[in-house]
Amino acid sequence: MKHLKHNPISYFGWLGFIGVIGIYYVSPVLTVFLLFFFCFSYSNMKSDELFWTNVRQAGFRAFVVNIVANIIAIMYLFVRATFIYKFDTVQSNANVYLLSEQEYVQYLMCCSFFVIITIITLCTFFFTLMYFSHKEKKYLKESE
Amino acid sequence: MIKTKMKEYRAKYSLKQEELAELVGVRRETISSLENGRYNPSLKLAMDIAQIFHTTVEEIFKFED
Repeated sequence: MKHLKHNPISYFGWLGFIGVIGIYYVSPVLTVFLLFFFCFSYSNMKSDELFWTNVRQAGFRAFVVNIVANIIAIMYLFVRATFIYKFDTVQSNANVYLLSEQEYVQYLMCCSFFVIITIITLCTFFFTLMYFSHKEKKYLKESE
Repeated sequence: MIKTKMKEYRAKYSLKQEELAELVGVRRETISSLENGRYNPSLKLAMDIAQIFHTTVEEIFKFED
């Protein structure tokens, strides 16, 4: 991997401004984007090979967490729709879909799981990266 | 597991970790991780370090089971 002038992870910091929009519109979902401001702390970190190794490891962990969380969410929604509430096909009347309360809750859950799993995946990635940085600094102090 | 003689060679050439890191284009944390065996270098990095110390890669880095 080439050494880049600016650490690419630091560019994710600009996504933090979406969180500012979330504060303005009082949206808890968008407010989570404020976590991306942490990425600006990587702007001074040289992106050498150990850094990219850490990024690959953090990315793999986030990928596994994402897969597991998605499987759990999909299975839960499937069991809920098929065995618990036994949903039938959605009916429509004059361009209006007729949903029962539980069907509406099911669709809300789908949207919520998507957002929650995305947040969990991003948190896993960034917290793993921060953990590796913390470990490096700790070993650096020990070797001094 | 790769064992290194980087510390000895750094002492021989009076190089600090930061100075060596600057010369090979990595962070000081990377050099520290290499010296303590917590990270195995890429071939390019190993060759760059060997070139700084005017020796061979095999002399600085030894593979042990």
